Amino acid sequence: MKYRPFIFPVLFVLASLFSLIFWLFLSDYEGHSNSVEKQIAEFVNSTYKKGDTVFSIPGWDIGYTKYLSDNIKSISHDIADYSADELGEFESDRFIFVLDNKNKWNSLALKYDVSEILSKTFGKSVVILAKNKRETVVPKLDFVKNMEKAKEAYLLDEKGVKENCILTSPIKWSCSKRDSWNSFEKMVGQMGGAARKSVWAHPRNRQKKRIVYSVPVNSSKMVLRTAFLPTAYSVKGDPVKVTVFADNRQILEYVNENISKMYIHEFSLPPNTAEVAIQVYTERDGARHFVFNGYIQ
Amino acid sequence: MILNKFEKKDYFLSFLVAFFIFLYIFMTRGLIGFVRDEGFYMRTAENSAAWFQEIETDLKKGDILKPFTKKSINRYFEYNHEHPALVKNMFGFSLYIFNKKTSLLSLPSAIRLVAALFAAFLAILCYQMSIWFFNSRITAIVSPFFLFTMPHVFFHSHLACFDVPVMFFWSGTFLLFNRYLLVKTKKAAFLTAIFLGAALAVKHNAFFIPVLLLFNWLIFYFVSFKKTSPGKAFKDFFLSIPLVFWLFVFVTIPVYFLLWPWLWYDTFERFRWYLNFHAMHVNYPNYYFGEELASGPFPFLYPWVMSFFTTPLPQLIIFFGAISLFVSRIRANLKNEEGLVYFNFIMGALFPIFLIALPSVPIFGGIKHWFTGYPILIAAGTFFLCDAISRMMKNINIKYVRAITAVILVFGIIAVIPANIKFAKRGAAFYNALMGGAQGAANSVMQRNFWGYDIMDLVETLNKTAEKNARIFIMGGNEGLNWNSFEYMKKEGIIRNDIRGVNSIEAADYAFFFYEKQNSNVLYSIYDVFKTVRPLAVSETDSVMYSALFRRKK
Repeated sequence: MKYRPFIFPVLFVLASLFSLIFWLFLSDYEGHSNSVEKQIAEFVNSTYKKGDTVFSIPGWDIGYTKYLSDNIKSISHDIADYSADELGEFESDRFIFVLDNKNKWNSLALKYDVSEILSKTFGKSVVILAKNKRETVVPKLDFVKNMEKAKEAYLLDEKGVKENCILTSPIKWSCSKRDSWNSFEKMVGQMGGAARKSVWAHPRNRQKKRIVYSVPVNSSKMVLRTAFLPTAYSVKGDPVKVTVFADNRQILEYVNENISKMYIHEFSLPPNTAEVAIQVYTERDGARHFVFNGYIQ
Repeated sequence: MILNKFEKKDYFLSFLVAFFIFLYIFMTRGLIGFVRDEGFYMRTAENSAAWFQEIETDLKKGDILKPFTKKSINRYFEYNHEHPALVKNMFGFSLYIFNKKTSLLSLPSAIRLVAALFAAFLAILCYQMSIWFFNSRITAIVSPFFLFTMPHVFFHSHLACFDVPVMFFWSGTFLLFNRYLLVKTKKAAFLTAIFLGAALAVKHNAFFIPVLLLFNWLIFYFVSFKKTSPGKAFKDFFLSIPLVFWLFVFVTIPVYFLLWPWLWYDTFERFRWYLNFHAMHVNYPNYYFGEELASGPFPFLYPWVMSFFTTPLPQLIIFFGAISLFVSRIRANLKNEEGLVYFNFIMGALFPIFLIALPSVPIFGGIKHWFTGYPILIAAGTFFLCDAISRMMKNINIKYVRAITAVILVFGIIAVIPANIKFAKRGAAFYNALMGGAQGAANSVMQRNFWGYDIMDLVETLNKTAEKNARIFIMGGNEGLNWNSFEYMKKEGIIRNDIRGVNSIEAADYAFFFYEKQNSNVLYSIYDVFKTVRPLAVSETDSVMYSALFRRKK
């Protein structure tokens, strides 16, 4: 191909022109306009009821949240991290979607199986109160929410000697005076790339760490999700062995590799199970930042 | 090919450009909060300044050797011995002179002065390359401006870190080596070897330079230069090895050793530890098109794609121009040393990207780890543009050609000013128009920012509203601020002095949140613990949130 000297300067001028126009006029092409942020928040404040969850779309524009009331307890800027099934596990079946563009609604409604109850438009933005079309899962026991109500938590050393953990606050079972991290503790952890309420359960090496929950009557199903936090799997440490006992009988055991994946197990409980114990164990601790959540139904 | 010489006016002009760049960087230092690593290096600078103080004190006492004893070296250089000492000592010396001795500058400003100085050196480097190899004064004047209007380069140029210094030493070594190839004087060889020694004493990236230069030379030797007499291949080969390679052994290594006092004692053990540390360096997760890159193997395309989307469009065209120039000149000069010169340049510019592209090499830190060859691309690409304009208008009066060239170049710089203004406080978060800017990158779930520094839009609210002795969560365990950077920001007056940092949300009255997708759980923890989802202040560009300030519900 013959070299044509004009091509390069022309490309340069066009690139410069495009860059100039983009950054002067086009770069703020999505998100909520500043002028409507306050109105959006006021509408959300007046619509919100206890148990509702607000979803910001796009999640990177949180400007309107500066005007939200403290009554808003649940908000997520990461709806893409959830599946339609997971929306069914939220506290209520009502959701408030704060969208920067009404055109995004149809695909969202379809993906998450939600239907519009009411909506209000603010410039290009729209706030939609929606209801989950699926049946909401109402857990009889949530491992995170009810962690402080666990029957007991303890450590077992290699000889089987038991050392009790102590409930030192509504969010923490402390298992060691020396190591503050050796505990079961409520937190929001990054599980499988998404922020989720979870129980911190970093195990000490060669020490079984167990939390025991009383099972509500007529429960038949258990869902357990476990994961390493990014601080652990980015340094490629050892795995954690997870064991579940129903009335002291082992019903599940697996190795959670030290990777970003969230392990999900959904299984039936033996009839009339009175208690379940979740046990974590590792050969070598270190950056073993390990968490779990789940429920019994 | 001849090496073009500096004229008298070039000394003046290069100084003028460099001085302008120095002011541009130094006077805007207040825009950018202190990154995590600056916390470590500012502390190191304090140690180093104390060493200079000890040298002065001991010299006055006549005890010349005391500051250089093992005890003294251990005391001042053990902290942060994972990096060599040249730039850290420059930080320390500047601190010693401009803060401790004269109080002309605050502690952080005295340290960041060195960063601005390296920006000025880089401007001179671009100028020199443009004159020496392309004989183009307009390229020499304009190319530094193209370099420093790249938001990532602008950002890193302010920091008391090693990334811009090593950019200077990396590109500078290739420049000096190529100069040596053309002039072949002993002086040029010594200068190159000394410069490489200094480069090694800045950061370990420089270890690749001699390997790369030798590799390039061997290729050209065996493909093009070899003139072997029968039975004398071995001898001819050794006689052909350029002097500078021998000096890399006999001059560079001693210079490196001299510039890093930590190695003066227990040399092999300490050096082995240093190599191990970098060979086994952990990776910090990075997001790339929604994928969390936490551990290898990493995508080969990662640094190439990131370079493509984090370079402003005019500079991106310039990069392609540089590659086109090098390739065409290598092809035209395969049999002579000019080909090797351009081969060295293209390898110097692209090898850092190639290295990070290797699937096992950690990718944390983003483009700062591979932009070391950008000055080469900027100078060569700007020349290619000027040259193309001249060829396009070969039948037009040279005066008009110059004027049109100047207009086009100035337009290119003006075109990137709005982006620079938008990202002035967070250049590390810049993505170009092809990515859709800040919003496009956020929608594509790219790494939005890193290093926990983006607080300049938050501190005014914090300082105004915080009660006396208020405690703030600094996100230390989650890639937010670290203790040092927090304390230095208090020393600089950026954060009110009575405000205390804590590393637990539960213990805090206020909280900084620095968004990285992998840390988004921290935001929800703040909501939970503070019983509010309402930020007091948000740091944003084009509505994209980068960090926020929260206050516990009373």
